[in-house]
Amino acid sequence: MTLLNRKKWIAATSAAVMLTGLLAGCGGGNDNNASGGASPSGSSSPSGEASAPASAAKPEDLKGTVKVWDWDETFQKGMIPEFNKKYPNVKVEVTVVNPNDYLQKLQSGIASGSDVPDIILGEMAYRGKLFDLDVLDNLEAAPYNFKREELLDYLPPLLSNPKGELVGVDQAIAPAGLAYRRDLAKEYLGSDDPAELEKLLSSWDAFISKGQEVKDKSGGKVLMFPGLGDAFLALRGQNADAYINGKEIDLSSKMRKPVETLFKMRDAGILGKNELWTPAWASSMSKGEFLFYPMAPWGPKWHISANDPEGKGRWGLVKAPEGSFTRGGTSIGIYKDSKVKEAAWAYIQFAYLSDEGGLFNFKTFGNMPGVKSFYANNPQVLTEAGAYDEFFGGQNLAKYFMDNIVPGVKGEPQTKYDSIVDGAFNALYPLWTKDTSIDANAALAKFVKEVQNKASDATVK
Amino acid sequence: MWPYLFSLPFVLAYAAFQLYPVVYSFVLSLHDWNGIGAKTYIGFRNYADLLTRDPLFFKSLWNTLIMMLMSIPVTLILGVLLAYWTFQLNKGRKLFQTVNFLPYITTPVAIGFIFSYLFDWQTGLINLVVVKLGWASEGVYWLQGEWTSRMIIALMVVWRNLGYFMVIYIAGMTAIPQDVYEAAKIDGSTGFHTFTRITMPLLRNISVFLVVTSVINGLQLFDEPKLLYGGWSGSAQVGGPDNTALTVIWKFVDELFISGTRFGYSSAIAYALFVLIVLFSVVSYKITAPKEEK
Repeated sequence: MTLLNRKKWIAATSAAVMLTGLLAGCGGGNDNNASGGASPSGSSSPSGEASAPASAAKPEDLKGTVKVWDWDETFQKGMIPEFNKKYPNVKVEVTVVNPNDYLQKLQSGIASGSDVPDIILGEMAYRGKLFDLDVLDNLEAAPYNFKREELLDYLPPLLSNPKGELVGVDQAIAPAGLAYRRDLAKEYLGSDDPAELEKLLSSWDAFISKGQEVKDKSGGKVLMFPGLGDAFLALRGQNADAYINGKEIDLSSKMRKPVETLFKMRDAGILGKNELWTPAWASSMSKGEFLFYPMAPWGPKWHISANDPEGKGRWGLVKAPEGSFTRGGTSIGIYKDSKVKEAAWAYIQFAYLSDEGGLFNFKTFGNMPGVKSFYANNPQVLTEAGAYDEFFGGQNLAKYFMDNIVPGVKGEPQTKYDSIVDGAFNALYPLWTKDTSIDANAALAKFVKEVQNKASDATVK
Repeated sequence: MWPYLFSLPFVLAYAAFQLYPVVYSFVLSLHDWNGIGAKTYIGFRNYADLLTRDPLFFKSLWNTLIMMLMSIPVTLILGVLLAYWTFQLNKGRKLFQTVNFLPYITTPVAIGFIFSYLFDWQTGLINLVVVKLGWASEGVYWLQGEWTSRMIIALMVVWRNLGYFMVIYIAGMTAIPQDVYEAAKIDGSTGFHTFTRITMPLLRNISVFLVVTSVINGLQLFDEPKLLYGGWSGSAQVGGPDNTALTVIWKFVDELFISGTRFGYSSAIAYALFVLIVLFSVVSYKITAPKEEK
């Protein structure tokens, strides 16, 4: 009897212990996070006693392991050894995460208290949602004490959260113009000189009428843009005024003009029928079916040369009619509850803000840093040949971007609703491509309805 | 004492990895939470919003049911016919079985790519054939049509599950004793008559199993539509054209990770779907199960 009772007791206790252990294993991470958030930043780095601010100490004294999630492994593989030359005792660990899964993986990581990186990337497609989660540190506060004035003037709105805090620096600037096929431009527009083309295509109306000429001349074989998606990138981006105020989304007044111009283009027959990033779209670049592709400084590597590897010398860059816009781009921020804030900041400073990192980045990958000091201290980058200038027929891309495209760019504040708006547009434009009986007004009404369906807590008009 | 001890590992694992999440997600469905900030208790408001203010939920449910109606009967009929035919084969039966079963073990991602290549508007194989044969001057935009999009997804489901249905039916046919067939033969029954009077009734339980499981799986349809429309990097079109391919699970994923970060609301969707699945599986069982067993 007593033996049986004891056995029961043991079984029950061990069961309880195991269960508690399991459950604690699931929820434990949260507690760690909470305590991490409360502790003074950076002081609890694995190496311990680093109590003085990193900036005051020698680079060799800074220790720790910084975790980064990035999709661009090549960049990190190149940059980390450069960084370690100066900071030998900071280890940077890279996990390759696809941008499409990035936010989902991050959310799950934070919610479950498991793996969270110290350096968090915010691709434009999900940046508004990331900033809204309020998991990034204000970089203008201690221990970073960065100043937004150091950034190029158009950048701060793109890198600020809804509270107005600066929570990221730019990975590489992403002001965009139009990449064009030089051979087609020469044949159908009479010139492949950017300055000539700027004059020729001074407004979207001129662009449309030229487009019709090109279409007639080529017998419909050559059109201006590969699809509605490409055209809209430029049209929408040019109108960078904020349109989301708290829970009010003024979609109609923001999108009316871009959508109307888009439909004018579609009805003029100067747009192809491709969706962005599809195989047909990608192969069109080497086939020479379309003249223009919206392109930011990341484009020569990821967009143009990736899809037209044989195309050396046959591409050019011109600014878009009626102004510049931004395309894509990635913010670099620091996780609020990171234990190695100073080491993480040292890496960000080196890789994205410093002259040394910036020069390496620029020469190796063609990326252009987003800080004024880089261009003031290194005026030669705008005269020397960049990584992809040869590919673009010897045009100095960096100089053209800085002199002709950046001055017209405005940064648009990012909110959690932006990804809904973009998602709605991406869902709708293939339909507008297919069904030409839909006009701009009907399209706009549909656009508003679609956004309202998804943003049920907001008022959309 | 010992039985409890031996079942303990399973019970514990079940409690930690099944029961706890199930209960927790119900608790979550009563909250407003973005996964990171503070949870706010809001009672049943998520459910009320879902049922009264969210047109896309009902649309997604409708789409899911339509696609199930398109795929399940076709798979059942083709599956049993294919099984019957394969069962009669003397030569090459193994090969035929294997070939038909292959789609079932192919990863959904590959299936998504295969079908989006096949039905692509500009470069798709189907459109190349259509244009070559002169049936249309320009390819059909299959993936952006209200009904064609659903039909393609149903086709994917049929193509994928046909081999599985066939194998299960063959297993069922193997279990039917040969003397029943012999007796029927002596009584003068032939081909089609034997099939409808002997094979089909004796396969009834198999059919019930297949219908109920495919209703359960059908309501959870997600891989096929998502991969058909989200296969290309960066150009994910949630819900297909005008949300005609949006399924309940896709809606759930969209609320949670794509359009929103609403953990509570998504849990409410998951629970609503759970109730619906219970309901539909009971109904489908009642409809298909043999009456005399009651």
